[in-house]
Amino acid sequence: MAFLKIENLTKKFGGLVANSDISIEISQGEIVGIIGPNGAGKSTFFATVSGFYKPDGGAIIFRDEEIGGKPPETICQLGIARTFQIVRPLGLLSVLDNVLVGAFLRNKNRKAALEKAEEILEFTGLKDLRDKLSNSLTIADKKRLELARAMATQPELLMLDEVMAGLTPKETQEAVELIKKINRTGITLFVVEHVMEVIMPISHRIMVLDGGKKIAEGTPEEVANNENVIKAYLGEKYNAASF
Amino acid sequence: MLKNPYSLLIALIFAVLLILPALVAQTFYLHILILVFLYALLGGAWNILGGYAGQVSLGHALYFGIGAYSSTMLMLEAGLSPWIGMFVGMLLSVSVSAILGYPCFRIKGHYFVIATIALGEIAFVLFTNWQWVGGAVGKHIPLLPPGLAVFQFTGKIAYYYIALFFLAVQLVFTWFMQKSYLGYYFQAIREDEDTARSLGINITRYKMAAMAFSAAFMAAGGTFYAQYLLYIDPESVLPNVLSTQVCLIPILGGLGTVFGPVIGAFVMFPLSEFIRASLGGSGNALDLIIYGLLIMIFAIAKPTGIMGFITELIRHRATASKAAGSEERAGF
Repeated sequence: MAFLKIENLTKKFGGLVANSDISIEISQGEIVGIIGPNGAGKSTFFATVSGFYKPDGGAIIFRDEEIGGKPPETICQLGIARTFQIVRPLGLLSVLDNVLVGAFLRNKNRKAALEKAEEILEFTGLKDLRDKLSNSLTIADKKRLELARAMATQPELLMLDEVMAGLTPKETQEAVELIKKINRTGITLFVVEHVMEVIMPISHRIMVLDGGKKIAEGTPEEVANNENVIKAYLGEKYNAASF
Repeated sequence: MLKNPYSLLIALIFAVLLILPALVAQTFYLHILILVFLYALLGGAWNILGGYAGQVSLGHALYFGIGAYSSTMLMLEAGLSPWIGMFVGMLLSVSVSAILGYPCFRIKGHYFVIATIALGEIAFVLFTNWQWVGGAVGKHIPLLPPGLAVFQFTGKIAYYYIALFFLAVQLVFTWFMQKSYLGYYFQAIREDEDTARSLGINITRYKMAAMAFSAAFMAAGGTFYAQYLLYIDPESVLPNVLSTQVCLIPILGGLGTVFGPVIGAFVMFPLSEFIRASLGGSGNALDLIIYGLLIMIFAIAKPTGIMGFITELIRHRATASKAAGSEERAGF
């Protein structure tokens, strides 16, 4: 049984094909990265898998269950949580309350949910900020909160949409450590990232998108040396063959 | 609950309100207080949907009207006690809110507001032309030998306590709702619907839940109103201005707080009564102008309402005195 199997996923916006025939399989415990130039369809892919868009073709199978086209709340209940590229804190709620909203998914009892939320604040290093209004956080902490809140829903698969974009090198390093730590607890991670230095060392496998199509998949080394990938990122002229 | 130092203050205010009728002899002041309690109840009902869940309804008189007409018609046609009529009215308005909410919650923002205005107006026109419920003339509730069973009393004191009781029930409900996952889910929906969905919240279901609670308390208020004045017509229980007022009260007092609507009602209602009393008939619209002005001022300067001032003061004090055990949020 495949953990997550995506087959020929297609998503169109009118005439624009944002995702075309993308297939990938993910096994439990992996960290899989998705990279690609701007407009490659990474975010669309994420939004479709997490239920915010309905696919126009193909299948998304999570633990033998077709989830393509199911609403996001159902997908989250099944164990796939996501963060947003543009942070979306529940602004007028405190950091703790943000995480608590996530924790209520698995346990409607306030005391039990609070315990879970506190545990996650500790885990993600947000403990000292627990009573702050989430609106007042720095961008790095807001991204961390996105992560914490998604984790509070106790997912099996966590999808991170550019949680490291816009962070300083030090903050990025902290975020990398956090992602590794999350993975060690047994959570499978699906990570969209722009920052190459970050995604290369943490990913077990990487999928590269360009123009809505999958152009490569493999270990970070394989991908880094793939001709199509170099072409997509640097243009035809820098293709190794032409040197 | 005693962890919260302000629960003592709340208990004190409640105690004062309990013995107040013994001190206030003038029925005029009792009348004002009864209406303040009623409007605090209605504002609090609206606040569950509008303040917590962030779904602005400008047609809430509809549920008030359903409550008023249900108990009245059941009494007139079937001889049922208004108390039974009240529960029927609450059930009816919850059902109506579910039927209307299901399609309406699929539209968002301003479009939702417009839909609620339309529904409120439709109800008004419907009841004005529905002869069985008295049409535009309305219905008188016959005077019966007073007693709790028939929800009729001589004098105002009994009504005072019933209104206070209704309000207390609503406040306790909202308090526990705020502490439970429901309160958190409602607020998550208010803050960001996509985030809420990404956290596994079925937003339509919880919006409908918020609307159902809201409608039930509105209906209870409607029955109280009918039994207090013993006369209802569409002009008094279904008007657009009522829908607006129940929304302004929590805005003034503090949206998404338990006690905001109470404060809002205590400020707003005596204000309009005072203006009307001092200016006579010519001041009829002036209170509305002043409401409007107040709302504008609050929207610009203090969107969190009067409660916003208070919680800020409390926060300020808490940080100043470095209260270590300030575990509870000040958001009561």
